[in-house]
Amino acid sequence: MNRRQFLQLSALTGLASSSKFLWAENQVKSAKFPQINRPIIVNLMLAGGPDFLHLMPPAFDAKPDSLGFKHWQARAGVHNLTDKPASWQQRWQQDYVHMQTNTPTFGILKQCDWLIEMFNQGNVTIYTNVTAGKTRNHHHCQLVMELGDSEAGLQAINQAGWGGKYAVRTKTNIVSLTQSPRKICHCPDPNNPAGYTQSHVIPAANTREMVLYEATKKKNSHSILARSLKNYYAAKQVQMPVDSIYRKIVDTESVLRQLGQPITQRLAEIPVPTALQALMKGNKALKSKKFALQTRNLYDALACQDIFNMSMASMDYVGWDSHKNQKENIEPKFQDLFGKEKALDSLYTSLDVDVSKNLVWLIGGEFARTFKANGAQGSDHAKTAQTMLVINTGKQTKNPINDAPITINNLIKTLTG
Amino acid sequence: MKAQVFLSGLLLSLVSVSASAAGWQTISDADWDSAAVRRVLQTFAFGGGHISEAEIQHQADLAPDIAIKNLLNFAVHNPILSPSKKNFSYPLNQENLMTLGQFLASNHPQNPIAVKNRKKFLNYKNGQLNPAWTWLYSTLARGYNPFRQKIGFWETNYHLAVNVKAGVSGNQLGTYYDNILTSLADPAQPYQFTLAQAAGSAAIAVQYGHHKNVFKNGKCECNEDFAREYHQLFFGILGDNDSEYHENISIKNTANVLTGIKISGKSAAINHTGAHHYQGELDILHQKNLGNNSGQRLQLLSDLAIEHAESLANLPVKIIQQLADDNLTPDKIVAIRAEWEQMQPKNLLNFLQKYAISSQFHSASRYKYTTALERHLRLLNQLVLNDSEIFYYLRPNLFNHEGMKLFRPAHNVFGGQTSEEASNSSLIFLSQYNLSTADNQYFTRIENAKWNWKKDWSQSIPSGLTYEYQVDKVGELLWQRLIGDNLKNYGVLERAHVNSLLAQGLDLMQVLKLQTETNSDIAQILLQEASKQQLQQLSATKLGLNSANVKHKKQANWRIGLAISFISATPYMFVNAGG
Repeated sequence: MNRRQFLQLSALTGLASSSKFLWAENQVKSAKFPQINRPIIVNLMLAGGPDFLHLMPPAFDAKPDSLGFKHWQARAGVHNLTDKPASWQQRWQQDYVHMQTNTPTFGILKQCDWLIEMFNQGNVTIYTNVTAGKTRNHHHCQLVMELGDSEAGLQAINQAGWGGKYAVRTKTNIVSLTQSPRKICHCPDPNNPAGYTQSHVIPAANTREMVLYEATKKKNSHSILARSLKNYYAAKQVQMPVDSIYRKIVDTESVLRQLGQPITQRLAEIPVPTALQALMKGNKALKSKKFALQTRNLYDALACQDIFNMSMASMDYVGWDSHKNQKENIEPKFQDLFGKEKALDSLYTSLDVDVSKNLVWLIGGEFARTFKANGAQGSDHAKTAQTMLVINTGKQTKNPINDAPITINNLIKTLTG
Repeated sequence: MKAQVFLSGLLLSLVSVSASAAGWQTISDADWDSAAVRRVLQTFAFGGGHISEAEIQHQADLAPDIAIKNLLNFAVHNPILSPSKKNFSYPLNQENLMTLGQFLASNHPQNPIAVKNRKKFLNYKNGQLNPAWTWLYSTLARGYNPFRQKIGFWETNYHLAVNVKAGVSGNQLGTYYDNILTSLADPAQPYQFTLAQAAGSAAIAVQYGHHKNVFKNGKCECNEDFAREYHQLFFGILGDNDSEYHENISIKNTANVLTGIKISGKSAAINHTGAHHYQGELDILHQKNLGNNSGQRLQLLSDLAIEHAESLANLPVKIIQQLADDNLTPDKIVAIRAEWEQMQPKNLLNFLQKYAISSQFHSASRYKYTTALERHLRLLNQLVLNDSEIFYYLRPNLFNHEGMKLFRPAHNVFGGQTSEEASNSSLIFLSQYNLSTADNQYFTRIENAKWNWKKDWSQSIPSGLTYEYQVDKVGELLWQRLIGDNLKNYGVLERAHVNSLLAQGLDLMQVLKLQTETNSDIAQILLQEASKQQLQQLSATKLGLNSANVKHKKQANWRIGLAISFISATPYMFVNAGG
C-alpha cells in the first residue's frame, strides 16, 4: 500500500478526515463492540487438501452393491479398519452422528459436535460438487482457490486474489489474520494487471501486537532510536518512489503507525474472553496454536470493525495432506475447528449474536482426496469435485446438501454478489 | 509492487528452452569491484561471514572467475569467508553437522561451548542431534563456511525440505544434510546424483512415509506423496504436457519404485533391499525403469529426470528464484534455462558460481526480499565479534517469533518462509522495528558483569580504514557491512541520522534542535547551510573506540550499537538488491 492508496483507504473507510484519525479519539473510549452492518466473509483455507469424506461419510449399508458398502470398503484403510464389514459398521455406529436429511443419510464425526449443532439448526450448507483446480498440484490448486478462478494457471501467481478484489470493489478491507497475507488478500494493481498491491489489506497476524514503539520523554536509547526511526520513516514516506522495491516496507511502517495505537487502545479495553484464552493453553487448547491465535485475532478484528472496515477476513489451518495415518492426523484438526469448546464454538460463545450472525464462513481446501485409501492408512490427491462448507448463523439454509455442480467462481459469486 | 513473472513453472509454453539461446554474460573486470563482492556475499553467504575489508578488496582485485571460486565453494572450512586460528584437525573431527554436534555436546577438552550450553546440540538421552542449534553454530562460528551452510539450509529447508515435526529424527536430518553437502562438494558427482541420494534417504522416507510402501499380491500398497513430489519438488516436473500420463503412469509407477525400503526407528541408516520391492520394468517419464531395488531405480530415474524438458525449464529457474531473484523477467528466464541446459554434467556449484558473476545477478533489476532468517543472520554475522558472543546474541525466539523455524519449514515439504511472505508481513517489520527501539539493548549493551563480557567494536572496525574512527567513515562501514549496496541508498538522510547517533548519541531532531516530533520535510532542512555545517561537524567527529579513557571507549561502543539499531530497521535491511 503506498501513501496515496493509504490515504484513499482512509478516506473510504471514514477513518480520516485529514492527516489525523479522528475516529481514534471519538470511539476508542467505548469498550463495546462497534455495530456491524454488513456480512463479513471469513475465508478459511484448509491447506493440504482436507478429506471431507472422512468428516462426513455416507451411512454404512450392509448390501454389497450399495454406495454405503462400497464407500466403507474402499476407505477402511483411512479409518484403520480391517476388511471386515462388521468393523466398518461399528465405526459408523460409534464414531459418527447420523444426520437425517432429505438426501441419503450421512454422518458427521462425533467430536465435531458444534458443526453438528450448526447443521441441525440449518446454518450449514455443504457444497459437495465444487470444481476448482484441474490438477493435483497443491500450489496450483491453492492458487485457483485464492484467485477464485478455476481456469487460473500457475503463471497467474502474482495476480489479485478474490478477497482483495472484493475489498476493492466494496471499498472495504480484507483483514489478514495469518502470519503473512495469503494470496487471496492481494488487491488489483491498477497500473499492472499482472501484478498486485496490498492497498486494501490490513495485516493483523497478532492483533494485540501491532504497535510500533513510541518515544517517551526519557532520554534513553529507546527514545532516541524511536524518535530517529519515526522521523526517518516520515521522511521516507514522502521521498520513496511509489514503484520502489522498498516502498512496501515504508508502507508497512505507515499502516502500523496509523493503526497500531488505536487498535491497541481499543483492545486494552476488551480482554480476551476466557473461552478464547483456553484455546491457547491448558487442557482445552487447540492442537494448532496458530489457529488459536487467528481465532482470537478474528474476535479482536470484530471488536475493531469501525477501525478495520472489514468485509472479509482471511484465515488458514495447514497440514491436511493426509497421505499417511489420516485418522490420527486429521481428526484432531477437525475437532480443533468444529468441536465443542474448540475454535469456532468458542468464538461464537464469546461473541454477541448481533455480531456473530454477520459472519459467513467459506471453508475448504485446494482439492479432494482419493476415494480409495492408499497403503499407508491415508489418501492421495484426487482431481474429482471437492466439498466446501458455508456456515452462516445469520441465515437458515434451504438446501443444506447442495450437490449441484458449481465452479469455485460461482460459489464465490453466491457470497459476494 | 513491480510486475513479476511466475518463477518456478509452467513457462514452458511462454518461453521455449533453446540450446542456441544466450546464457549469462560474465561481468567485466571493471564491474567486479568491492560492491560486487559484497553483493555476492549478501545473497549467498549471510553477508559474508567474517570476511575482512581487506579481503573483500583483495577478492575484488582478482578476476571475477577466480575470485568467485574463493568465495563460493563447498569446502568445510573457508578461511577467506571465515578465518580462524582454531584447531579443526583430527580427532576433533568437526567435518559435518553430525560430528560437529557430537563434538559440541562432548566433554572434549577443546570443546569451546560452556558446559551448560552443550545439551543444546544433542539429546543426551537418545543421542539425537539438534540440527537447528548445530547449524546455527556452524553458520556463526569462526572457521566454517557460510556459503556451504546457506546452500545446505536451502536444500534441506526449501528445495528438498524435510521437517522435524513430521517425525524426521535429528540424526536422520543431520545425515541428510551432510550427505547432500558431501555430494555437492564432489565435482565427480552430477547434481542428479545428489538428488537421487537425497530421494533415497531415511529422512525423506520418514518425511513422506513411503518406507511402508510394499508391492504385495500384485498390488502396490503405497502412498503417492513422494512419488509426486519427487518429480515436482526435486526436479520441477509437473506433467503439464501430458497430465493424464503423468498422474496415472509416472506417479503411480514411481510409487512402485519406492517399495521395499526399510528403516530402523530414528536411525539414519536405510536399507533399499527390503522385501516386497516391485520386480520388473516400470514405465516412468516415457522410459523403462529397471533395477533390483529403490536405490538403483532412483539413480536411473534421476539421470532421466534431470534432462526432462520440464525439469530443464523449471528447476534452474526455481533455484535462482529461491536463492537470489524475486524479479525474474522472461529475458532472465531464457538465459537461466540456456545456461542450465548447456551445462553438462549438471553441477550446482558451477551454476551458482557462474550466476554470481553474471551481469544478470549484478543488474539493477534484481532484488530479493529477505526472510527473517536471512536478515537476522546478516545482523548476527556482524554483531558476533568472536565465538564467545554467539550465545549472547542467539535468542531462542529470534526467528520463531517471525514465523521462521529451522528445520521445521512453515510449508512443510514446500519449504520455509518465502521472501514474498516476509516482505508482506507486518509482524516481521514490527519485530525488527521494536528490536531496534524498545529492545535495543540487543544492539547497544556494552557489558555484562555476570558474563564478564565487554563489547569491543575495535576488534572488527579497522582504525586505518575509518581514519581513526571518524564518524562518517564508521557509519559508511557499518552500512556497507549490513546493507552492502555500495552506499547507493546511504543518502543524506540516512547519513545524517547515523552520524547523529554516532557523534553525539542523540537523534537527528535533537541534534538539529528541531522542536517538532516528526518532520517529513527534513530532507529540505538538511540542505540548509546551517544544517550542512552541523552535519559536517558531526561527520568529522572521532569515536573513542581505542581511547584509553574507559568512559569514552564505552560511549563509543554504545553509539555504534545505536547506529546498528537504526540501520537494521531501515527498509534496506529487508531487501538484497542488485547493482
